[in-house]
Amino acid sequence: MIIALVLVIVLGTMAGAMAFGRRTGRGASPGETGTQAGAKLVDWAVGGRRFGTVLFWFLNAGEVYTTFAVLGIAGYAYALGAPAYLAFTSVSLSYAIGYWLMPKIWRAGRAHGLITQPDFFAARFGAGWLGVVTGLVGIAALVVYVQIQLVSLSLIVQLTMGNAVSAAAAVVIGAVLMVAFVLFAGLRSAAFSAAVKDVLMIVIVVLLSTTVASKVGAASPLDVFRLAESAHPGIGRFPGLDPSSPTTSVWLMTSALNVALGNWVFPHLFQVSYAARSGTAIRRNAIWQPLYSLAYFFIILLGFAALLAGTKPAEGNSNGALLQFVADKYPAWVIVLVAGTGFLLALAPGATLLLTSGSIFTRNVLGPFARDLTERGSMLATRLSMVGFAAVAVWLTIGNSQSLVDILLYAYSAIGMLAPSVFLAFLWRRTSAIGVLAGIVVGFVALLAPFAKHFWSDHLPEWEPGLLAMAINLVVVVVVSACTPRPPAEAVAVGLVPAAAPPRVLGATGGGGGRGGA
Amino acid sequence: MAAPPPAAPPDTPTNPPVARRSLSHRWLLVLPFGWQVALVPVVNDIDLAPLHIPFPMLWQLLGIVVTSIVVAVVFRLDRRAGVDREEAEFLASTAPGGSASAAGQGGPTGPGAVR
Repeated sequence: MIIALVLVIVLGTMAGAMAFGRRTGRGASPGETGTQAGAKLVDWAVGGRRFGTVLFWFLNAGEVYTTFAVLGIAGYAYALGAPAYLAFTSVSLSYAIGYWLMPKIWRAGRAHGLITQPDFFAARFGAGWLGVVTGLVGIAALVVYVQIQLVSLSLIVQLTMGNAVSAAAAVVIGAVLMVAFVLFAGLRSAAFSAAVKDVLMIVIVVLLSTTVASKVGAASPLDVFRLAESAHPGIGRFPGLDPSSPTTSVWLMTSALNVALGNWVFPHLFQVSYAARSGTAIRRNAIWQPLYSLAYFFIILLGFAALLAGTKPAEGNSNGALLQFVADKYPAWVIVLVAGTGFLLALAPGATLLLTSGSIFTRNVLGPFARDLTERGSMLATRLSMVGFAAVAVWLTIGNSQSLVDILLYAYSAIGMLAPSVFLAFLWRRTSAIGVLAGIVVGFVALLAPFAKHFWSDHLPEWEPGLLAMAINLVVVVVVSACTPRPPAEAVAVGLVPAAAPPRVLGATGGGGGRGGA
Repeated sequence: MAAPPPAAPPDTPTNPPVARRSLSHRWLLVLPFGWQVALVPVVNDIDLAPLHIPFPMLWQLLGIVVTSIVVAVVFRLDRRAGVDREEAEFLASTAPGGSASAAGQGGPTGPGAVR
């Protein structure tokens, strides 16, 4: 019964999405001339660069609010308490930086016809090979991000089908669903599903938070916090529930900075900057978008409520706390609504992530080695690579019961290895391709090498290792760039206005932005 | 640059062609980092719980609102500094047929689509 109804929600949305995609697709095609393949790629990868303020809002909201927001944050609040406040910093601080950074990325993309993130690296540093390297790093970070969607999908599969399905089988089913969604629905439809899921999510949040008090014996929703504090003193401040946890104030500060500095460097979010119609649309969006993240308040409320209710998720997996709480306390139709929304919440962003990885692989990694690839050939390469990346994500996910927040922080650590060079691209002419490469290599050693890991956990256990590795990366980029020849002037011009010209309004005081927080 | 009269009163609504005014007001964007990051250890020890909400949580909620306000202020100051006008020039110079732009730029972006 539950399965049937959930299928109705998911398949109904997909059908609507395909109809929508076909309609808008037909509307867009007559205007396209020139190389049809190139036009098509611009159309789906960066929305034809014509997103005004309103559409740009939805594009951003859809990319920011994923299953991580719902299951991950609620699970962290359930398991640890205060550390879930990381969610409150992630969006606002990202936009404080994005206000300065995103228009610069948009401008470079528009002036030079860039479509993917490695396009930018290759153009700005005047080195085609750097596009290959940064493409691979970007794909690695995206695959870790896909893992978040897979973990969530497998939990929802288990909720829907009952625990008859093993955890590993649920992950595989989730991956098959995600690949099927990408192949049959595509990106335009993902945007439609994202809109549907946003509406459904608001319905669920309102429904659950208005009724949650009665489920846990609280007098009002806010009373939940009082009960939580009296049952678990210290839950509302760092380090949270467990006084010995390393999630102290320092953990929050370093993790929040790592997330904010890495956010726009994710390849799919980099492309979001390209998709804007104007810098003004980006800047105006940055005013309003942070307010959307106030909704995390309700997610944390639900996490605390799940804790008060004594929820026991399967195998003690905190990621499943919210779903288990709903399954324990609410009637079947609410479970159906939550499960159906959960599927869309994971499938739509998952589709975007896989498509971005697939197109980077074909365009920037395979492209330079196979210049005479036909359109059919590149389509095939994109599809096969997406299946491959999904398989890698499955392999990473099975048997891994880490919290979604921790997986997210891994993804940010990985993409953080590209962050120093993205910022320097707009700040310092001398930044060279060799410097960027050296920074990436040393940064990854500082992040992944066993000796480095031990050093961090012994000496700076509360510090986010990603931020430390990012700092080392930055130093290396600067030192090596200073010793290597600067890129050709036309490459530098992709990021900075030519030195000869009088300082223009935008390039001049580049130091603004949020970097001062680092 | 020859600074416009020092301590210029905030309302110079004429948008004078002096142009290229300083963008140093963008340093205001550091404020959210002060609020939501630097002050975390300070507010963590405050025991208040207005409306039962733990103070460190309320602080972060307010931080979100503060960020929106700060960005809105910077947006207005940017406009006054001529950022929008400069950008309009850039948009015009890269509009239709702009040599470097990619195919597929057509569509409702520019008035004259690719011919």
